[in-house]
Amino acid sequence: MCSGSSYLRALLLSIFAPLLFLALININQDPFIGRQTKSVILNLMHDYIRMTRPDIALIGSSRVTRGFDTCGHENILKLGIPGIKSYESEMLAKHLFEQNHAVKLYIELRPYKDGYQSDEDRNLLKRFFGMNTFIGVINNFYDSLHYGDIEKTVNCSPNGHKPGNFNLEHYKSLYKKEFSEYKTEAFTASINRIHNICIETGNHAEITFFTAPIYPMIASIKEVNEFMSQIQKDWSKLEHAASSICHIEIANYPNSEHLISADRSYWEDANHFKPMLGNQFLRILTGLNFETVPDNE
Amino acid sequence: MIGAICSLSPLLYFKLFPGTLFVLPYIDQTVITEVLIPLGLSFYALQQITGLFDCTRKGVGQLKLNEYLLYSFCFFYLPSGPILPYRSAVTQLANMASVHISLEQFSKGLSLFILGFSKKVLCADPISQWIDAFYNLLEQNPETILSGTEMSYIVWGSTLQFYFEFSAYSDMAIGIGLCFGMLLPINFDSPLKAKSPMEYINSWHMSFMAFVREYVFQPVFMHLKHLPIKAMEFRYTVAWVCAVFATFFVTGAWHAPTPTAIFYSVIFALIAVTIELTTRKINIKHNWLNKLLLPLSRLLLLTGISFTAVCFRTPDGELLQAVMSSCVTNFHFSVSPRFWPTDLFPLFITTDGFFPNYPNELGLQGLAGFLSPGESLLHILIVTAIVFFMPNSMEIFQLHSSKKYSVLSSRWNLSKGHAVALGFLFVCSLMLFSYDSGFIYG
Repeated sequence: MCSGSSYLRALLLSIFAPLLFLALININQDPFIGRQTKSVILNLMHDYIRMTRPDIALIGSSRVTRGFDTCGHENILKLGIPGIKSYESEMLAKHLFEQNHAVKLYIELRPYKDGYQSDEDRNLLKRFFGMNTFIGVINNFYDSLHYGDIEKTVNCSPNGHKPGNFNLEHYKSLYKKEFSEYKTEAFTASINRIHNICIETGNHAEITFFTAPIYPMIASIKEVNEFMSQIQKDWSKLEHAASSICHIEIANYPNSEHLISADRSYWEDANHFKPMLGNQFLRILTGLNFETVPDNE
Repeated sequence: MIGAICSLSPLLYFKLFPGTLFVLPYIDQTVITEVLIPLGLSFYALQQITGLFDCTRKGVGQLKLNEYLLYSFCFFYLPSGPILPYRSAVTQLANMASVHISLEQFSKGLSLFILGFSKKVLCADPISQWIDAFYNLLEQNPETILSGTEMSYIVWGSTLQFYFEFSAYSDMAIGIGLCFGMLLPINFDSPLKAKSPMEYINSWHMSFMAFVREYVFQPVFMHLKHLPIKAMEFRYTVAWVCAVFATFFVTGAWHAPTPTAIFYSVIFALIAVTIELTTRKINIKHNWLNKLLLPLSRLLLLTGISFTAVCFRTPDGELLQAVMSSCVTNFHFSVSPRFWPTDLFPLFITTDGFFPNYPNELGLQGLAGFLSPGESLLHILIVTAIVFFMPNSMEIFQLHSSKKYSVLSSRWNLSKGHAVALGFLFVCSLMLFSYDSGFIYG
């Protein structure tokens, strides 16, 4: 037994000390804890480039990280940032061009809003005290014990994700909101900026903007269809921008149910396809053959 | 009476017409907006009714305007109770102004709040996540047949979620109350350990049951016991049965005034009355028969409670039909456990046989917010063990002494060990606090 003040001191200490520890891990390990930490992302990318020496780069959101399994393709760099913003895609492309890497660049196309988009996905509580990064650290430690002889690369699709909440209506409303906010000006400005960066750095790069597979029942909603047709129209006005130095094209594949399966075995949730589907798509996109590694399925 | 009707009218309106659309005229356009039920309206209405009746009673003091506003809109008990009767509020609010809050009491309140928060995040939310996932699955593919394990998880999980979520809110409210020097009425006394329907009713949402006992059951019983029936025992029994049905009718209507909710409440009343009257009539002399019948009656009671919980938890009638038809047509358990990774984390079981509609595809990352099928089964077993073998939070914090049996008799005290344990519990809960269950009782 102790006094009330000693009890409170012990209670508060046992709360704030671990929370501080957790926040430090998150700040140190999670490069996306604050969208302003560009240097952390670039440092991380620099390491990846050094490891993989890529001549093909895939830039996109969590769909790229989780849906494409390029394990074993050392010449391919896969860069997926959950909820990627247009300025982050541009920043990554710029860095790649400056390093004179990535002759072929594939950038996931998402609806562009006015100006630079802010990170609205995670609140401060989740950023600093969420346990995803912490668990990731433990997971890496566990992997290092078990797969010490096999070097895991960033290209491999991570082992196991949460079985997402397959709430179709929830994702439909998210897509409706996101796709209805598309702005032609923001899209053309972003494409022009990337094109200019490519020319300024003197790269003879082939840049392809692609729309990743969308779950068929979401792809059929009005807002997504309108986005798809609008982006084609906007692109047709932009084609004069393509030069002999930097070739830009758009791979806007239709997302009908005939082409993209709605079978749950191909989807983690209504927003994330599995490598089983992603690699088929990647094969069409790049013309390369991708085998999914059985251990990652 | 007019006052009571006026207090209940907004509540009835919002419950009968949820998500009402209002047309608001603006200068150059009209805007249609959806108005949701105001938070805490259910509890506000009942507290106002206690005020209307209590303020005319002899010996009950009057609240000043500022005290009345605090009583009516107090942030910690208004959203989910417990219901503070007016006469208690008069004493409590007077105490708040005069009594010095000691550090010991503040520590107790804070600790109870942490325990409540942990109950919500660690016990209720993981179950809620899986039940929501099953409902989503059924919504998208109505022809999905759930397996026996999935079905049982929904049925028993709904009960546990109700209990842990609601009792957690009560614990948090009582804990904050203690920090401010207010002793709120307790709301739960291990209802799932009850041996009879009446014991269950008297230990579940106790402040609400005290309200309906005082304002529904007793007036109906007192009125009907003067019915022109000669046999006194029969007359009293009739009055009691009618009062019980009236009580359950009001209880069902307060929770959700839909025909389905009222129907299930009345069915539960029918079961409760039948069991109560039968046990009164049957006098079992053999001790061994009593011992045999007791677990059976408890099992029956828990089954009844669980199915009532599913009825309240299921969003609509079609889904309820799908759940029930799965229960009848395809009730078999599928078990093929695999342990992963056995050498390092032997506790994390992963199976692909338990939940065939959600095959396992998880690693340790699953802990980040969504347990894998095997982990969720282990979790629900642990939570069940807590329900049946542990004392409830009111006993742990010595706010109530329960007569119900517990294997462990742990009690909170001002020791550094307890402080560290609760601190650890709070940190774990905060780390996992990400799921918005979207379900608020009442």
